[in-house]
Amino acid sequence: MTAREVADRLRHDLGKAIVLSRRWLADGASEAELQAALRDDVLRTRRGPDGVMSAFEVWAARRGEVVGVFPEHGAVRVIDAAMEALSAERAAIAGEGPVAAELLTRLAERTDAVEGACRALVDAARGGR
Amino acid sequence: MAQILVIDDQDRLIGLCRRALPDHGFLGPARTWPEARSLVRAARGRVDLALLDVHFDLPSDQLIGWRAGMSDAETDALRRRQGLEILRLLRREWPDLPVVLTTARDDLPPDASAADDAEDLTFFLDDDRLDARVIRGWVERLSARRREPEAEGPVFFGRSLIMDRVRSRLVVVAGGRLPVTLLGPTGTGKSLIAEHVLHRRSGRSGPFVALDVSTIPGELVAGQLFGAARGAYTGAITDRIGAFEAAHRGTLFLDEIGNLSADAQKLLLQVLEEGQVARLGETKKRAVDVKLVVATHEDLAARVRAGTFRADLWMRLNPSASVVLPALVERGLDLEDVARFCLGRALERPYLRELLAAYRDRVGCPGEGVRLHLGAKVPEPSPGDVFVWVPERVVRLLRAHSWPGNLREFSMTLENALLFALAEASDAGPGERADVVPLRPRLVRELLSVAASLPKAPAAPPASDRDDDEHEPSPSAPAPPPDPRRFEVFVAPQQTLNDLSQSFERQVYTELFRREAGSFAKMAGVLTGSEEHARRVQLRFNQLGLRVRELKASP
Repeated sequence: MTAREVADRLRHDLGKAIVLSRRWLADGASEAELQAALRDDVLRTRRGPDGVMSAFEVWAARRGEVVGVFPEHGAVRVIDAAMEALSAERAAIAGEGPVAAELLTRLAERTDAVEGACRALVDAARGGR
Repeated sequence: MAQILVIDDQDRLIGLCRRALPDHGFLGPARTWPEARSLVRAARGRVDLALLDVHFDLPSDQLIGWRAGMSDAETDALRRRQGLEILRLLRREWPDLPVVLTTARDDLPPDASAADDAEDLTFFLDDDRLDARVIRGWVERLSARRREPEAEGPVFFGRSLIMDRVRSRLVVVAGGRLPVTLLGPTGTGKSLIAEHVLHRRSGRSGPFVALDVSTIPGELVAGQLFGAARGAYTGAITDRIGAFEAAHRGTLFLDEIGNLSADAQKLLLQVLEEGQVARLGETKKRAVDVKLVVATHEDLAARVRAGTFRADLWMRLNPSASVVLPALVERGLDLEDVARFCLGRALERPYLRELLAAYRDRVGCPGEGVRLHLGAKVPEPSPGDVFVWVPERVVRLLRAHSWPGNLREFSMTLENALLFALAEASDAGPGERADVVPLRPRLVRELLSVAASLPKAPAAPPASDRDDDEHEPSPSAPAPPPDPRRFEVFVAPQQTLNDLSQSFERQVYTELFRREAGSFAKMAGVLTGSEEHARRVQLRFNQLGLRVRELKASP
């Protein structure tokens, strides 16, 4: 696969999917709604006839080919770091109980970071940046 | 409520749509082209919008365009552009369906060709920006575009792309000051458009005045258009205003403008240039503020080239902004909607309302409601309602017909079908629902077969190609042959509709018998589409009381 194909696929499978539900939240959504959206985005990132994949599983499945094509790109480190942070709060994301608003905001920022990194890889593949 | 089809290999988008837009219906997700096709067919084409993903992670054997021997890389590339493959097939079956691709145009794979030709129906929506508000905006804008025709009545009625374009153009030209020229085959609704669209949307306070130039003897046209002073010509016994003055501050619609004589063309040009009109026989000029709409089924540009229509007048008629109305057959997707409209309008006619009321009394079906139902299945009963049911087979017959007379022919055929259906319903047998009046395929087929088999009316020659005295038959000229499409039904007191129907049938059978030289096989070919039905046709022939010997003996 070319660099662009690798980057496009990662953006499609992970970058867009990890912020999808949150983007659909109405203005003024409650913390519970934000938490539910994050749960969908991070733990049920891809959902189709073959089952459910979390963002961690998607990244694990794609990381090898991404690193192969973009060995030095900072975006890979950004995604790695974000995944680590999200994974550390996995229980909070999955839990039904209330989560502090601050934490929710931080987690949302991590998903934004993943999305931004995926986009940076696409830009790099297209423009050689 | 809009009906939206989601074509996506994943479940998340449709889930979000359903939660965020509960007032709309969502079909799917269709994960493959066959699934999408099945869903649209099951919805009988009534889908307002499709949301289509581009990248589909499907097993290779489910990919459109996949073939054995493709490499993994080729298969992967096919997955990444699978949405475009689906779009191509979708367009082939439903060319007018608006489709939103949930990707930015720039994100299409580099090897993807242009998405499709229907650029004004295919939209790219960067899924970075895809959210409930954006989707709601798209859904409401696009479905309103497709619903608008229903609110606009007969002319705008429909959802075809071609009418969509006509509609957009009409809206623009309606508000302008310049003349509007409506072109297109006969029967396409030009006069309806002039009155119900162009005049209504013009914002003008004056009246709508229509003049069909083809129905007025050449020497009288100028007087009708511009008015005449007393004594201006033989028979002008009082001053009279013309159509231009009558339409002051309103709209003047001149139908069949191609029939204007050379003199009338010259006068019309003067009025358009000066904005003033002088009655025949007067020198005084009166200012007129008129929105002029003209129509013709002729190719006026060709007439200009041939020198039979003034080029300067043609230019004044603002040809660059002409609106061409499509033939009915070009409006494929509109047919069912137009059928609903025509039947609805027919049901407002007093004589059919009376027939329907009489039918209700006869079959003991109280109430006043009447509903139209197009579809394969008999409609569910609804208390107080009578259904006029157009079965799916009849819709197919209507679709298969070429409709040379366009909307006018279509409307008359359906009105006739309704009339005969009500007549037949009076003889409905046991076991049939009294609250359902079906338009039976046999009846519609008969009406269409007769219409299709008979010679077409010759096109009227342009005014300049004929002498004025052609308006009156010359005493020495032979009488024109009877129009073989014309049948007469004599209504006698106390006569039943069944009698009328049979009288009509007898005329059709007699005419066909003569034309086909007594061959029942050929008659069956015309009436039913198959010569194998000769026996059935002969049986009906006998039932109608027609006799071969008598017909062969008569001239």
